[in-house]
Amino acid sequence: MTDVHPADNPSENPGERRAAYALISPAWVAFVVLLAGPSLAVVVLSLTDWQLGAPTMNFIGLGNYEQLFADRVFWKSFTNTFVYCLVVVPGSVFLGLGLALLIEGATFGRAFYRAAYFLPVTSTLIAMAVVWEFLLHPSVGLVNIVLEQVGITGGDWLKNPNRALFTLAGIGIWQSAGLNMVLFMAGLKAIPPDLYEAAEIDGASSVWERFRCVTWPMLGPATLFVTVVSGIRSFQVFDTVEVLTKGGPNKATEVLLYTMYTEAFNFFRTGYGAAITVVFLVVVLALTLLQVKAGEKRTHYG
Amino acid sequence: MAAISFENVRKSFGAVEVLKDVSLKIADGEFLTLLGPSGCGKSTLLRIVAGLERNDSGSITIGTRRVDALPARDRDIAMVFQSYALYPHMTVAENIGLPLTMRRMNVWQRLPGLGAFLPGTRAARKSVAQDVAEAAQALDIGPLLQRKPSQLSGGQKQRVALGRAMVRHPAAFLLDEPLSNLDAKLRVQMRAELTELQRRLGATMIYVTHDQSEAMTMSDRVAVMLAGKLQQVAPPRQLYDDPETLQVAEFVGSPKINVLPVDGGFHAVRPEAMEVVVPGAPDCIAGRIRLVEHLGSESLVHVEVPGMDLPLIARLEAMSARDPKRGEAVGLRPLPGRVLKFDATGRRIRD
Amino acid sequence: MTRRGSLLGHVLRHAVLLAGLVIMLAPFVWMISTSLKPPNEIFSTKLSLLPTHWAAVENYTKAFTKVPLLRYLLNGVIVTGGIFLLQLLVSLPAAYALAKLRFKGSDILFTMVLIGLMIPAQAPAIPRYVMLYELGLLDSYAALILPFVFSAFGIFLMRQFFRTVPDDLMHAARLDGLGEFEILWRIMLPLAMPAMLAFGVISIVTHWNDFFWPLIVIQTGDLATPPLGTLFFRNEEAGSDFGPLMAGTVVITAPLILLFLAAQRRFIEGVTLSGMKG
Repeated sequence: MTDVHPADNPSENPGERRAAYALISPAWVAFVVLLAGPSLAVVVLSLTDWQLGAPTMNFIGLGNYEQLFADRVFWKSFTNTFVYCLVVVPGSVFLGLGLALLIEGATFGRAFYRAAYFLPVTSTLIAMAVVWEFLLHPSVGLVNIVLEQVGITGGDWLKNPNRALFTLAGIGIWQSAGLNMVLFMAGLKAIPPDLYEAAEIDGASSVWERFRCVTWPMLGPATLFVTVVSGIRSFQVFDTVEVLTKGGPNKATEVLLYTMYTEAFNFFRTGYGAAITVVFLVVVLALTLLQVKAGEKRTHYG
Repeated sequence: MAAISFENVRKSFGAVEVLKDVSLKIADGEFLTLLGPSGCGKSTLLRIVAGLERNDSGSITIGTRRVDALPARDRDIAMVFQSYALYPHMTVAENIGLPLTMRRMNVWQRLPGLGAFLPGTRAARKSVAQDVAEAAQALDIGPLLQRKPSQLSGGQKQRVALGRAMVRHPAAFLLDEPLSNLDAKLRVQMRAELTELQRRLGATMIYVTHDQSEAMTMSDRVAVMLAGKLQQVAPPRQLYDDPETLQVAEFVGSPKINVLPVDGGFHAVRPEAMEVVVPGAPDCIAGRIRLVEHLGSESLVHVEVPGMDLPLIARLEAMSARDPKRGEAVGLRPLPGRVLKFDATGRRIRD
Repeated sequence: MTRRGSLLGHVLRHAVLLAGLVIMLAPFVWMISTSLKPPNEIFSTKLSLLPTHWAAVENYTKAFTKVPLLRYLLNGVIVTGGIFLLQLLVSLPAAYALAKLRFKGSDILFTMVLIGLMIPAQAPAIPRYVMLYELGLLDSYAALILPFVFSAFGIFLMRQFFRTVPDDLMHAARLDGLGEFEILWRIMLPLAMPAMLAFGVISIVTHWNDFFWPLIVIQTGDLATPPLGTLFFRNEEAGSDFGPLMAGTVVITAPLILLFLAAQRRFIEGVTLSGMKG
């Protein structure tokens, strides 16, 4: 089709326009009622002192935020979430990359390994968290029993305030590594094999050199992308906290979403909870914008 | 079969005027080619005739009906697309049969499962199958009826697309560069088959292409289109020997016609109308041979002439006694009466 | 990536991969193993995969009778099925219109979809809860299904797919006599099957595993989806009845894992696509 392509111009055909509006109206309505409306409402709510079921709602401006930023618990929660991310993201990204490299280079069993390592990603996290709770049991849990065999005393993984967050992070890495692995495998497949042949001719023939000269640079955009996606996922940590530690011991595992949950749905301090949501939303949006930028680089890098 | 005419058709896409007042009458049973380079508006014109685009002004008539307001499916025309546009999830038989199924069965009869029990469905399906078999037979694709498009070669897909068009016995066929996705050899073969088919069916065909050899070999008349305007509409021979404008002269014919700026206007001479003589001969243009292309049946001699950017090309028959060599100084002389004269705007001056 | 290298290299590779596998799959293996054991073997410090005395029947019976496990699974099916169906009904026409039809406002709508992709699921939770509360719909299937009917991901995915369908195909269909709706039904839908399956996988897995929202809106045990049901179950089993507890988790995790094993390619395709949302 070599002439001016008309698909970019609005149609002069009224039938087409009517059909189009009919087709998009359910989505449009659903969008406004279910997504746009609530998202805007949450911001508005954060500026009020409303509690669910209360008869009056007063506009208090940034009052909730002032209270929030002065709250020690909020800061603990915020920091915990970041620490969690700082452990889970590098952990699961590098693990995922390593697994992808190992599996892609294997001569057989690739599908098997891929399926097996991906299994944790598909399993219901809550159920596996319950399993982990059992595994991490100080006396009868598998982890401590195995460690006992090599002479190490495991101790309490979830009740120790210094360890608890990192234990949860470990579970987080266990659950996400497979996902990152799959994303990296897609990225590896996209590297044209001629690049390796060219590198070979240029003298870069050892495993390390091939990685350094071809694989790593070509995976750059994918790595950035996977990292950001991991970051967004881990920032949303909630399930394991609610099931295993409920934010404890002593707020050691209090994370942002958990704080929001307790404020909004246990104490029904709706306005306050909304403010926490807004903070959460801002961080996630920032990360998501990064993801979009990283995604664009990935598609143009081919 | 029907005649087609369009009068004063205009079309713009936003600020770009793609068709500027195009008028043309196509006779019943005629094979007319719209020939022009990319972007000239020929495909748009075709789609307007088909009803896939709306013209801004002017009228389109198929047979005796004005069809401007009619949707595509009511215009009784069939179209073959450059990409064939075969439905990938349907078999060849289903592809060819779809236009018939849509027209002979109503919504209820077409329902899968349930529709089979309604009265008349069986008879309709049978008649569709019959017509499909007939078309498949005519195009020699009978054994392919149960295959899916992904299992077909380019040439076979082409035929299926033709079958789908033929099976409706439409008033006219519209073909949008149907051969451009085929390899060279297949293209030549299909050209002949298409021409043969058109003659056999007595069909009115509007054929769009940018390939001038296709246009020249297949058509009853060729309409040369440049920048949204029709430059000339004439039988191929006439287009070649008697072009209306310089652009038409340059577009038709390979290798390109030799153009010499003369007195503010232009003189154009076909390569086969150029004689290769000794440099000092009377009335000739002196130059030096830059390249000789030996094509077996003939040779093309490229002569560099001072003051001109592009070399002039002369066509020598194989049996010619001359054996031109690169670097040789020669003269080029047009045969008498074979010079086409154009004014400064490119319009033909006839004396 | 070419596959070459020394025999030693390959042996090492597989050794590492298998060792890693042991760690990765340990929870699953141990979960199944424990569900088969009687209490005394569970509490012994001896490591063994298979029980000497099989307590599978007791453990699983206990699990099924303590809490309505099957009910939870059924709820999972109802909720994810309902959500996906409604999502299709809303997304497909919109995606088709955005991809193929020309109308004023298509750019705005698409930008809205893109924005929708960026908003995390938990952000609109509070207002949605309030809406359902005011409508008296809390603690119901409606509360579990309705909020998710709009799927920016679904619209985005299907639109991207529809864009790959050549326009000429639609032109040919129009010439063949099909109306807009029939084009969608007879041509687009059959072609869209693979994309719909990928969308389905993501939608079903996401909503099956969703814990946050059911936790908020559901109080009644009978309406619990699998994750919430697991929580109820664990809370019921306060104490150390690990056999039945593990049996319960086996039952809860089995469906998705079986689905994954059966439809691996679609699964991974869907996941990779959702990763490419940006």
